[in-house]
This record gives sequence, C-alpha cells and structure tokens, in this order.
Amino acid sequence: MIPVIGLVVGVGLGLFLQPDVPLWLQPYLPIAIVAALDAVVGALRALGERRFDDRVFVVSFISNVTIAGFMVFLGDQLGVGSQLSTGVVVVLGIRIFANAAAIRRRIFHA
Amino acid sequence: MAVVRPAESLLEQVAENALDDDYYVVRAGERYGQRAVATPAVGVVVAVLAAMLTVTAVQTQTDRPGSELERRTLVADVADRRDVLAARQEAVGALRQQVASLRGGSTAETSTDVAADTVLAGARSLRGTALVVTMAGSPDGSRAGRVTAQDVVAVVNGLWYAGAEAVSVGGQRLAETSAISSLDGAITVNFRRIEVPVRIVALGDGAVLRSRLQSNLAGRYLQERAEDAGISVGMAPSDDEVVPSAPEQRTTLRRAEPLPAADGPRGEGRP
Repeated sequence: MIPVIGLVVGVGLGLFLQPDVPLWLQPYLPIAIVAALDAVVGALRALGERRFDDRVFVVSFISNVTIAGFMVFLGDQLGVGSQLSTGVVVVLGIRIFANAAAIRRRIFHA
Repeated sequence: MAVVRPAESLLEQVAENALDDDYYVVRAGERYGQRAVATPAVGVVVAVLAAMLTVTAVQTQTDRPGSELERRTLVADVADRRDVLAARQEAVGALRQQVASLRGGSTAETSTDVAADTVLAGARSLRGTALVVTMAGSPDGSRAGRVTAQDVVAVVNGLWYAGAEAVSVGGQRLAETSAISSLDGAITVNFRRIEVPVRIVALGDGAVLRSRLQSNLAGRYLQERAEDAGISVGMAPSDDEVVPSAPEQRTTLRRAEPLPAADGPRGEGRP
C-alpha cells in the first residue's frame, strides 16, 4: 500500500507544483530516470523471486541515479557528454530488458 | 546464482548480472533488511521516481508547443522559398523569351526604329547596287607586292568617304566593332582570315562610288601601290550584290548603353 501511496503522492507533487527544472539539471534528469527505472525493474524482479530487500532497493536506486548523473556530468566536462549518456543508456537499457525478461519468464514460464 | 557459463563479452556480463548482487547476498547471509515491500523507505523512493517522471513529462509537454511552432514555421519558410524560387524561374523564362523576341528583330511587335538600327549596326544582310573592289598581290610574289591590312583599311576608308552604305571585306561585314588587322602576315576582318585576292563589296551607286574613290586620298594611295609594288586593283560596279550580316559578337554591346535619341549629343560630320 505504501508504494502505491508514494506513487500517487509523487505524481501529485509533480503535477501540482510543476516546478521548472533548472537548466543545469535538464541534461541529467532523463538519465537519472532511466537509472531509477533500472533500479525499479530490478526490485520488481527481486520481488518476484522473493528476495526483495527494501534497503538494497533504496541504496541501488540512490546510487544508480547518482552515478548516472555523475557520469553525464563528467562526460559534459570532458566534452563527450552525449557519447557517455548513450553508453549509460545502453547499459541500463540492457539491464532493464534482462530483468524484464526474467520477470516475464517467471510469470509466463516462457 | 545459477551461472551456466561465464559471460564472454561486456554486454553479456551486463545482461547476466542484471539483478544487483546484493539481493542474492542478503538471501545467502543474515537478514539485515526487511522483506516487506510496504516500508516508508520504499514509499519515499517510489514517490521520488514518480515525481521525477511527472516533472520531466510535464516539462517536455510544455516545451513541445515551442518546438512544434518552430518546426511549423520552418516548414512554412521552406514552402515559401520554394514558391519564390518557382516564381523567379518563371520570370527568368519569361524574360528570356522577351529578350529572344527583342533580339529577333523580325517579330511584328519590334518597332521600326529597332529594325533600322539593326540594319545600320550590321546585324542584317543587305542587297543592292554596289561597287566591287578586288585587290590582288603583284604577280612576282615579292614581299612588298603583297596586299596588306593597311591597303584594305585605306580602301575601306576611301569607300566610306565616297559614300558607301555598307561594306563587306572578303565576305565579312564591317559592323560597329569590326576590326581590320593583320595576323601572321594574313589579313583578318572580324578576327577571321581573309583570302587574297581580297574582294570588297560596297553598297551604293557603283559608278559614283568608283569615281569618288578614284579621286580621293584612297584612290591616289592605291594608284601609288599599283605603280610601286605592282598590286592590282579592280573596280567593277554591280547591279546586284549581297552584303552579309556581321557575326553576332560584332553587333552585340554588353556594357555600352544608348542615350535617348533626343538628348544624346550628335557628332558633326560630312553629309
């Protein structure tokens, strides 16, 4: 129940406050979201395999978002921002797909 | 963790270790987290994720009209420019046609002024009574006995002086920008080589032209040349001769523009 409440609260906050994302944050937000999605899909898979751990979830979420943001920042400073972003998205995308495939196998046995 | 075979490439490794190892570690070791999903920490994290997603989505949505407008403006611009290009090309075609019809001179809408001017400028062939002057080198073939460009210039000047209305040298009409010169010992008119004997056709009253030519400076010059160097000069009035039009390059002006006839200064000359 609490996750659902969190979801509703988050969406509500985003919709009602509609904060303007500062310009310096704009390149990092999409990457941070992809990294967060990776953590969430991983958590869902762990949930299905009955090895979910809220502490691991929270830590992996925060570290994923932070590291992804930091890599984009570093890439921007080095002049390879877009390439590094692409690399991060590719790796996280593969992880998301692999975890989603594991969930699918568990649910549909296919 | 059931590892069938060690992953070979980096991407395979990523795919195989997609789930964070910590989940397994916790499973194997002692419990230090909570198995329950419904914990405040999870709720906060989900809320943060949801907020991030919503904010980004809203931001993209609000940015879209701007970029959409930009795109539409660009598309409209491209279409406009294409229209302009098409219109210009059409104009080019129309103007080309106009230029061609103006150049043609024979079309009905051309004014008589233009027709008369093209005749005077040498752009039209002419026919009429004429005096034909034929110049040939001396039979002995000596260097001094050759017909030179200078001789031709003298005769042509004499013919103009005598009242010739149009002159051609060796089939080359003399126009506004014609030149008579020598190149490698040969005579050229309109930058084309002229064969010896040189045949000069001057339209006008043949007999009058001949008597005037013989009595003016050019006639005396020719007489001297004939006596000294042995070049032969024949003059024969003709009832029907044709003077061809000058080459197009010799009747086309690129830079010079005519002044209005009423305002333009008029040179004084012998009638």
